[in-house]
Amino acid sequence: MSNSALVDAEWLIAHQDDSNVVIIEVDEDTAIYATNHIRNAIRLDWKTDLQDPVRRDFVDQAQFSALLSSRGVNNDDIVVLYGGNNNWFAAYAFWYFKLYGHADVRLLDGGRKKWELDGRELVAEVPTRATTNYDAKPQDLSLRAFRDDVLKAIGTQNLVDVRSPDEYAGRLLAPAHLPQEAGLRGGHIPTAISVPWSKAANEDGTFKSVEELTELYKAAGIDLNKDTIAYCRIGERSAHSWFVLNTLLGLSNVKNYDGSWTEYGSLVGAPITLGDEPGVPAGTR
Amino acid sequence: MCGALPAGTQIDPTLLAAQTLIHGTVTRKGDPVTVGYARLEDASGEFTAEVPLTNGGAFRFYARPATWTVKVLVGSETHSVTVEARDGDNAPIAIDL
Repeated sequence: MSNSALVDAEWLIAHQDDSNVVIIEVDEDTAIYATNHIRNAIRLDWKTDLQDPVRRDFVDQAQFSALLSSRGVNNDDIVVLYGGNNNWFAAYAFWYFKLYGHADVRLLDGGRKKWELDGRELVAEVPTRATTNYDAKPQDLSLRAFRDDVLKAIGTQNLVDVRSPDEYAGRLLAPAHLPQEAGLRGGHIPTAISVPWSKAANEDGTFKSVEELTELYKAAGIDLNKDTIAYCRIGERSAHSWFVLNTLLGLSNVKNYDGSWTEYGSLVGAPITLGDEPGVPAGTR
Repeated sequence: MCGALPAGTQIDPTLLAAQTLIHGTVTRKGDPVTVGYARLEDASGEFTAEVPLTNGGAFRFYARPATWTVKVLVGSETHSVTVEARDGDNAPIAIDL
């Protein structure tokens, strides 16, 4: 494995007891950690720890500093993230740590799924870590797209829709492990190209090779020299694709739109394209 | 927001009426398989969703009327079943490995 942001099980086992390595589970199923987890792993809850409790946004710089201080994370620690759902929420947390300027953050390739399928050790014991004085940096907004960025990007930048083909086309309104939502319009952002996140992963949840990933995006029609915004439904699957584009492929001009379809599909007057083709910018038909 | 309901959760019948529910259980020699994953793939073989099996070996998807494949991953084993789904609650799928 050539990318230092990606570690495998052997690396993690060799460094599992290192004092400067903090293993963190971030899972869609926020209860699974209590059942079992990788030894020495602590937990972050993507909803209650990382989201503002009232308005739709992240916790701010001061709140993130306080959170990581309370969990015993130092600024110079190596943070290794993993989770279920092929690392969706771990990738989301990876992006989040990068957003707040953490220097050394890594993903466990394959996440909880590969770890489980390989029959590796999981424990119920919760580790204790002494509190620290973590100092988060201001958000790096070169990594994050907002709705106005997305509207301006229609027809000019790469918009990558990483949801399943049925969600892209408007035949489903949510990933099929969730009840379908009634309040949203279906479809995709005009000119967005469909590159489902799942095409970047092997069946065991590990990432495909850099060569395969490069070919995947090129074959889909993504110009890797252009600025790119990835989106999905709430920004977690697109964080997985952001990790691929930004970290594995080394592209510097990639943003994740965490508002994603649950914001865009509710915007009054925003253009939407239905069906399997990218469509054209409004007014150019 | 994202956050799947555990597969054993009782579903509001009014919600269910608007869904295409694909669900079932995975067993080995009659006992639930509790460590594994169920994937839902569309008719072209494209990944659509995936869930971990519950303690009862159960899985559940909310899809649309169409032909789907449920693929179960347990260790290095895989097992696939094709499903013709219709609106509402579809018959439970029993997969014995």
